[in-house]
Amino acid sequence: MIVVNVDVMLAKRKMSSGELAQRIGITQANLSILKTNKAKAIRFSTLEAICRELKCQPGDILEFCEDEDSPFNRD
Amino acid sequence: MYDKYKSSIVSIIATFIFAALVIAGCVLLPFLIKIYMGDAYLTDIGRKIALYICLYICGAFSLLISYLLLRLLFNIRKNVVFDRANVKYARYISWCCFAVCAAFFALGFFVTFSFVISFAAAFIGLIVRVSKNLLNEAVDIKEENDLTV
Repeated sequence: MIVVNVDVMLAKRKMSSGELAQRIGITQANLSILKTNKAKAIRFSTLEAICRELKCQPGDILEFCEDEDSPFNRD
Repeated sequence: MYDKYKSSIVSIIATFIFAALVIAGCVLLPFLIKIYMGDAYLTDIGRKIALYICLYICGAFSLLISYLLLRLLFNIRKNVVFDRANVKYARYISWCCFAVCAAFFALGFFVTFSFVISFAAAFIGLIVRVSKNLLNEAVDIKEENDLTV
């Protein structure tokens, strides 16, 4: 499964979730979906905005983990 | 002019009328059977009992279908459309249609004409089932859309 490490980068940059949500133009609820790994997809525009604001690469935010319980492995 | 609010009201009223007709049909069943089939046809006691059991079972399932349709319609009015609950209701409705189909199929061994009604019920059940599959896919797409950030 793909794990989203936005909270780790937020801690590194000492930025709050609300501030990031405001800067990238998404709601806090959507950012929460991303942080809790409930998201099924992420738009390139959102990823670009997060990378721009957190000054990082997509690989710093997204991580692949071997996990049999992944919803994509169940099908 | 088409108005979706009025359309749903018409559907709700029609469902209530349908349910009322089913109840009236169940209450007046002995008279209705006498009018439509006549006394001479029902001299065979086995056939008579089978007919009553089948029609009352179908009445019960028809009332259940009416209830499920009302739940669906009220959900639509609350703007809860692409929801797992609606898929569940549609699935129950198709099962009810297949149950009616089975009841009329069994009655077919006593009253041959009921095979036709059994076929019709199965066909309606199939249509509802396909609609349910369609709704299920739509719910999946909506969920994916909602969880795309």
